[in-house]
Amino acid sequence: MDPIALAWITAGIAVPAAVLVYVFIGTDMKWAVATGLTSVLLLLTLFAYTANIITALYTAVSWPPDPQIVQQGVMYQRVAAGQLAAASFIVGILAVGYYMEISKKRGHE
Amino acid sequence: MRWLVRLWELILERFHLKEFLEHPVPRYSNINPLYWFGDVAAVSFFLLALTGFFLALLYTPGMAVKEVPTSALMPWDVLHPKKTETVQATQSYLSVYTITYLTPFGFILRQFHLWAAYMMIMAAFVHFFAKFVLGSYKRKGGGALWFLGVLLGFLTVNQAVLGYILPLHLDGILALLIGLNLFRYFDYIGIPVGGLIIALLGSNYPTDAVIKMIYVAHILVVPAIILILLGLKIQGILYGGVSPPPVRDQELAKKMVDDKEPFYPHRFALMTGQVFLQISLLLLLVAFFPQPLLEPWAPGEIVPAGVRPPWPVMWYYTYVKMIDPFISVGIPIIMVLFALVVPLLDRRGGSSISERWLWILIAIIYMAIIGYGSVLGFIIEIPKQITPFTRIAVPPDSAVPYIGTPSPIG
Repeated sequence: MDPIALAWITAGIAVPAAVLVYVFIGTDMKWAVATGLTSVLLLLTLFAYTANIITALYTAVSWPPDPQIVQQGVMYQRVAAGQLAAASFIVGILAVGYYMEISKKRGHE
Repeated sequence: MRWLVRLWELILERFHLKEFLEHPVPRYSNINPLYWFGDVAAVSFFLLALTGFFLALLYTPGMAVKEVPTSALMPWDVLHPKKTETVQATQSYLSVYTITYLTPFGFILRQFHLWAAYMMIMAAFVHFFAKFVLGSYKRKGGGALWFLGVLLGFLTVNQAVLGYILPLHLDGILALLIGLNLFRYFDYIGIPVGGLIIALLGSNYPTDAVIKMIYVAHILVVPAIILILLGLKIQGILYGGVSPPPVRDQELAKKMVDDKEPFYPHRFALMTGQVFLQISLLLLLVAFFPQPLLEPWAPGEIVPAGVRPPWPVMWYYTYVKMIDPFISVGIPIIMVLFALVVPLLDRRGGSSISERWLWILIAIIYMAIIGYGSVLGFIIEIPKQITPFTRIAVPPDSAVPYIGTPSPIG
């Protein structure tokens, strides 16, 4: 698959998921965790797919390298970095959300 | 599942981790952003160690020159296009080239390492500014932590410059040039540091041995010192507590200090979030703002005008070119020395912002000097030769150019 298409699919999953997780953190933590973990799983599946393409692409690299293959490899790696960034972001906001939750609970005691 | 819980409890008990996990942390330090940047810098350091470990496995330093087809250089790396079919590059450059462009995930690895280094420096600067504003050194034991912090900041910038030299691209060689010229300054004022450095390196131009030493310093010596100082600092914070809240009202300050949360799970959850958000930001920077590898340098090649040093030392480079070198070269030394004695000078009064406006002004001047020089360095081209010593009468034995056509001495 084209790296730009992969990037759009990643954004299509990551952005709504991050918004949903953020909204659920304020209402129900259980839903936030469920949505967060599902989206992380989806993003990691996408990452595994991209990683496959990257490893396959790099078997074709020789010396002197074909700049086009290198540029393509860089594009796919940038997409892979974006997928990991999105997954990491969702886990990050879930953890901060959990802190807010337990900190709030203690305040009400 | 029960045996897992039992194992976890056993680990906590045997290693006395319960005391650590349950130590109380004031709530204000969890929610005030001024208290976060030390953590960001420390986490960046560990991320750098992790990525650096893999990079060290893949990187081979060396000065051996090889011919590279010009077509192999990526268009975004070339600022000064050459009309020849091949260009010369060192083993070090080719090694980094192989990691970045010919190794699966090598691009992410190197970019992540680079951005994490930039984040560590930025976080260290903000942390320094925040602690200056908060007057953290005024509490008991704060002076020692401040001292460690200044040394850590100095080492962090040094570490960044050492890492920047390793690929031996044009900008890296410029960084080496600036570093060695700084040692020459000491020679000029009568402290034979330059001579000592040459004696240690065994040469006044980059050789295999010199690059190896820079490599060892970058991956082992400096990180080890940083790790020890960081350990001491964490220990000091753990047992001495965090900086007091920046409020004048003593009653309110006491109330804020007494409002505590246990480290686990409160601060632990927050730190986990911070680590993941930090990784996320770094990966986003890799995805959206990848940094070029830059052009190769070969021994004897002159660094062309327009090549700039990395941004952490850009401000220094700008002043060296703008102001008389006798004053400008010593600016960072004076800034570090002054920062070290700040706790001895600022002893009176409380730690609230209204009581310490003069010191906050000094903190702003610090940031303004660094910020102004950095911005100016990137937006204007200062027409002056690269060496900062063009206007200084250097003693004859120090006048040998440090970087140039190789001509062994001794």
